[in-house]
Amino acid sequence: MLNNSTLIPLMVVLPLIMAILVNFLHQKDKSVKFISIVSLIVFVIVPVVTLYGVHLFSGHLRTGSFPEISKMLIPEVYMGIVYSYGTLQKILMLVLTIITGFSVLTVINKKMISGVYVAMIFISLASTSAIMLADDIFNFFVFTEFLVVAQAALVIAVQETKSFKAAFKYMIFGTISGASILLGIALLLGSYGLLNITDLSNAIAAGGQLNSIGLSAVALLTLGWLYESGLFPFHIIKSNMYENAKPEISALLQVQSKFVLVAMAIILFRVFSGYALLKSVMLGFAIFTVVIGSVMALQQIELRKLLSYVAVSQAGLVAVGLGLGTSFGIAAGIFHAVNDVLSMAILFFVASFVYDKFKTTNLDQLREGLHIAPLVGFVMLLATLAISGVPPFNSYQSEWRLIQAATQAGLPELGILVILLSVATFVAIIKAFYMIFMRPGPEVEVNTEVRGTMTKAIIVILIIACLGIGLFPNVVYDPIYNFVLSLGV
Amino acid sequence: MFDYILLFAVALSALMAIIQENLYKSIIILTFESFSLAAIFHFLLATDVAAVQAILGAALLPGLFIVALYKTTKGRDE
Amino acid sequence: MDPFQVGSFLTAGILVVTGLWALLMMDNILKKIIGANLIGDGVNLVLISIGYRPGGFIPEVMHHFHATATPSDYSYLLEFGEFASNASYSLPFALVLTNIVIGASTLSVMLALAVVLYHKYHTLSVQKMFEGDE
Repeated sequence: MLNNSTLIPLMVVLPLIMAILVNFLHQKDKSVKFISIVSLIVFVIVPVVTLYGVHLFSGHLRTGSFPEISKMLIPEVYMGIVYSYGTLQKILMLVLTIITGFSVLTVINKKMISGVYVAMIFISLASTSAIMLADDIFNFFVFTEFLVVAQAALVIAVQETKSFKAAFKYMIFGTISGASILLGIALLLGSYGLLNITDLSNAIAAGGQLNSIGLSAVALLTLGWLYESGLFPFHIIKSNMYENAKPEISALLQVQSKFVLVAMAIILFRVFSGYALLKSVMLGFAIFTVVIGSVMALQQIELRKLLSYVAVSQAGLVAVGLGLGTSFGIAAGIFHAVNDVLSMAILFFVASFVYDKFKTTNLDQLREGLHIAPLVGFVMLLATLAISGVPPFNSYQSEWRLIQAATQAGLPELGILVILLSVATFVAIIKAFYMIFMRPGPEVEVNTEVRGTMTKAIIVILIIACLGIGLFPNVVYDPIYNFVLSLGV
Repeated sequence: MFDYILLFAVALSALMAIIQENLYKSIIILTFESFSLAAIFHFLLATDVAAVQAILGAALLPGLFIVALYKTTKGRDE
Repeated sequence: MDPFQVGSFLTAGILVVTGLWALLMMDNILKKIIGANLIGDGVNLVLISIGYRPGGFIPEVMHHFHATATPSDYSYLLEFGEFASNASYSLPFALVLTNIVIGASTLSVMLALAVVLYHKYHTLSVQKMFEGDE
C-alpha cells in the first residue's frame, strides 16, 4: 500500500469551491477576474506539489474481508473511497490545468464576463480531475454525469438555436449512456460485491471466466465509454458540441473528452483484464471513427466544423493505440493523446482569433489574412505541421511509436491507417490555412479593436511546448510507459 | 399480495404514460407511477430511498413538467 | 431467488425498455423527457432489488441493538452479527440516492431546453425542429 498522500482531494475540491464562489459573485466583474486568476495559479501548482500515493477517504484502511461469511473472492478489501495519484495522472493533470488556465484567461479578457460561465468551466475541470483520479467506480460514474451537465451548460451559453439543439441531443444520449454505465456497475456490484477498481480487478481475476452477467457488464460499460469519448456511433454528437461552443471553450472540451477516453479505457482494462474480445471491440470502433472522421473533415467548408471532425478522428487514433492491447500500444496511445490535445488547442485558439477578428469562420468568405495577422498565420502553419506528424514536432514521435506498436502487435495495416490519417489531416487543415491566410481576393472586413495579444501569447507558448516535447519526447514518454508496465494489463 | 399489485401498477402506468396523447393526463399518470415506485422501494426494505423518491419523483419533477407544459402550450410568443 | 425480487427485476426491465422506446421513437419532445425519467426509474429499481433480503428488516440500528455501541470502533458490528446477517444490504441505497438527485437535475436542464426550443420553433415536434440537420 502506498503512502497516504493528503493533497490529492484538493485537485477535485478546490475547483468545486471556486466554482461556487465565482457563481455567487456573478455580476461583479473585478472580483470574478481576480478570483479566477488566483485560482488558476493554485490549480496548476497543486498537481506539481502533491506526492504520489493513494488517498483513503475517512481513513478507512485496507482490511480483511472474511471470505467465509461474505463470500468475497479476495482476502483483503479497501473499506472506503480511494483516490490514487501516479505519474500518469500528474502529466495529464498538468496539461489539463494549463489548457484550462489558457481558456479561462481568454474568456475573462473579453468585455462581458459571466460568473456562471467561469463556474461551469471550473466544474468541468473538477469532474475531469476526479474521473482521472478515482479508484472507486461509482464515484467515477457520478463525475461523468457532472461532466455531461457542465459541458452542455458551456454550449448552451452561446445562446444560438444550433447550440441549443446540440446540447439537447448531447443530454438525451447522455441519459442513455449514464443509465448503461450505472446498470453495468449494478451488475458488477451484484456479482462481486465490490466497488473499488483495484479490488474488482483482483476479484474478477480470481473468479475465473466471466459468466453471462459479467459479459453484460462489459458490453454496457463499453457503450458508456463510446459515448463519453465521442467514438463511432456518437461521433456526430460530440463534433456538434465542438462546433457550436465558442472556439476557446472547444479547446477545453476536446482535452476533457480525450482524457476521459484514456482514463475510462484504463479502468476497463484493469477491471476486465483477462478478456481479449474487449480490446478487439474497442479497436474496431476506433478504426471506424478514424476513417469516418477524416473523410468528413475533408468535406467541410467551415473552419470550426472542420476542426471538430479532425478532433474526433484524432480521438479515434488514440483509441486505436489503446485498443491494440500491448503495453507499448497503450503507452503510445496515451502519449499521442497528450501531444494531440496541445496541437488541437493551438488550432482552436487560432479559430477563436479568426472568429473575433474577421467576424466569421466560413472559409468561403475569408481572404488574405496574412498581412493582417502574420504571427497567427505562421503559428497556424506550424500547428498544421505539428498535428500531422512532421518532425521535429511532437505528433511525429507519438505516431511513430503507434506505427511501431501496431507492427509489433501483428497488425501492420494499422500503421498504414495512421499514415493515411495524418495525410488527410494535413490536407484538410492546410486547405483551411490557405483559404484564411493566403488566398488572394477582395478585402474582408476586420474588427480593428481586437488586438488578440492574449491569444497570440497563448499559441506561441503552446507551439514552443509542442516543439519541446518533439525534441525531448522521453521526458513525457518514459513515465507513461513505466506507469502502463506497472498496471500489468 | 399488495406488493405484486404495485409492481403490476408501475409497469402498466409507465406504458400508459407514454401512449397517452394528452400531455396533462400523461404527467398525472407519471406521478402515480413514481408514487407506486416509492411504495415498492419500501417493500424492498429501503424506506429512506422511498422517502426521497416520493418527494422528488412525485412532487418536484411533476411540478417542473407542468410548468414546462404550461409554457409550451399556452403560446406565449415573446 | 425470492419471487418478489424476480418480479421487481422484470418490472425494472419493462421500465427501461419502455423508457428507451419513448426516448428514441416518440416525436413529442416532452414524451422523450418522460422516457428519460422512466429509464432512470428502471435502473434505480434494479439497484435496490439487488440489496433485498427476503424476510429481513430495514437497516436502521434499532433501539435494543444500540444500547452499548460506541460510534468510533468497529467491534460492535461483530456482536451485532445477527443484525448484519438479517438486514438488507444497504450499499446500493447510497448509489440510488445519488442517482435520483442526478436524474432530477439532468431532467430539469432538459425541460428548460425544451421550453427554449419551443419559443424558437413554436412546435413540440422533434421532426420539425431537427429538419435541416444532416
